Amino acid sequence: MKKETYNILFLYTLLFAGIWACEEQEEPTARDPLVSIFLLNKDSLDKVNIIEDSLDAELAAYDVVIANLKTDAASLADSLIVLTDSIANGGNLEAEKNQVINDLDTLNLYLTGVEKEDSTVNVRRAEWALTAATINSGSVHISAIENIKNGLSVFYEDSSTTWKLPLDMNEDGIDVNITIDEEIYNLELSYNRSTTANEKNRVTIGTSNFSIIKTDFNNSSVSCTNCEAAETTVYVEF
Amino acid sequence: MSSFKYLLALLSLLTFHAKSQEFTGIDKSDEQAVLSEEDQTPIPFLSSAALLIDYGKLFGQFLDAESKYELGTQFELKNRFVVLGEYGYATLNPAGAYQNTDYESEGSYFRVGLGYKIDMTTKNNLYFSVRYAKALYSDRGVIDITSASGIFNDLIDPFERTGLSAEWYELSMSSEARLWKGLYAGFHLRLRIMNKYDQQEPLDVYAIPGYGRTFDRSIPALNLYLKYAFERF
Repeated sequence: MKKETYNILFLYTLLFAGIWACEEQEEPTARDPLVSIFLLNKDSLDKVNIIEDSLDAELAAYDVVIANLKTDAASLADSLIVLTDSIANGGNLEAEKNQVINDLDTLNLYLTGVEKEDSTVNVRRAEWALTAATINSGSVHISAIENIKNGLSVFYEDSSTTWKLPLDMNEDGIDVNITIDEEIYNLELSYNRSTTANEKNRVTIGTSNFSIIKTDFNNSSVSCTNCEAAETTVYVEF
Repeated sequence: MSSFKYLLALLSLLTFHAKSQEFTGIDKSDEQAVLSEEDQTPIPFLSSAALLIDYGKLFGQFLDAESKYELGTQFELKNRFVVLGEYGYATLNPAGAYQNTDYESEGSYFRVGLGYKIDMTTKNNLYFSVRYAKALYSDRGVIDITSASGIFNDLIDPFERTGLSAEWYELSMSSEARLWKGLYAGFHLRLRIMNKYDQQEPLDVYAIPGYGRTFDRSIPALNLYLKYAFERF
């Protein structure tokens, strides 16, 4: 065989070795199946609603007072016009006129004070409305979730409105304690598992058809569209 | 990445093929003289018997990803018609397979086919052929998922499917150049068309020995071979 043949074969060896040497390394897969849980702090929301109702009543009272004061002010202003006309026609009504002016000044001063109070209450009402909206959004700080079966816990630092509950890949259910503001709530769920490969060919465990077995939360329910985990939300109140 | 591989390999092969034609050392007039002599020699019915080895697959022995061996035999009738057979054994652990499973498929396969040979020159041949192929294999892996939260056990779930089979057809164009006496080097350009294979749930078979990845019903392929032919004319 000629030298060129050896050269070509050597070139092939380098070529194939180079191509295969570029193969990507696999990364380990670390993930839990997850399901969304919406937590409504109903106790706090009820308290906030009471405050809001109280402030609404206060604002309504202020509205009545302000309306009455404005009516009285308009009446005094009319009286002042009549008195001024009478004085111009020779009537001796200076004392009455001064009294009406004093009354009108006093009334306007009172009206300004009431309107200021009304404004202050309005600001407080808006703040409480914001608080209610935050609670309604499901913003909660879960401090820990504990797997009761083995006593292991996962801890969280921040509040969130979108909580994802980790699920067990080896079992068709979980039994966990969820700690919120030092209160512990138990939640036991069941679900179906399936093995799937995602678009990157990474094998994951899919979950579906969730049911609540038992819980310390109030008004718990499961809502889903196709009942796969991605389309499912566990709803609880506390 | 795979398209890039095919492109690189094809460019190199074309270079190789052109080179091989250059260093045959026979000019056109010599070629005509040889052909004239051959024309006068009666060609026997079994004009050639050859053994082939796919040396491209041997490069994979140096890697963890795969281990492949393939041998073939080829009989030429009247220097025109070709009957061929191939047998191979492969262990595949392809990159891009189910990533967290250490997936592996292993098994043997064979191909039988008929072809037609065209003598391009005295040193270069071109073949067109069709082949039927069948693989008997198994696949296995271990699904390995770590619990991200750490409060549940990691999932370690081994699986193994044995006694699997697949059948496919191939359209092939082969080109080869004589290096020395009966020794040829060449390549097959194949189009593999899947007929059927044993599909699996929940994770389907990812790679079949002799065929490749299952997500395409047809796959182009390139094989490099060395052939030694016992020619009788």
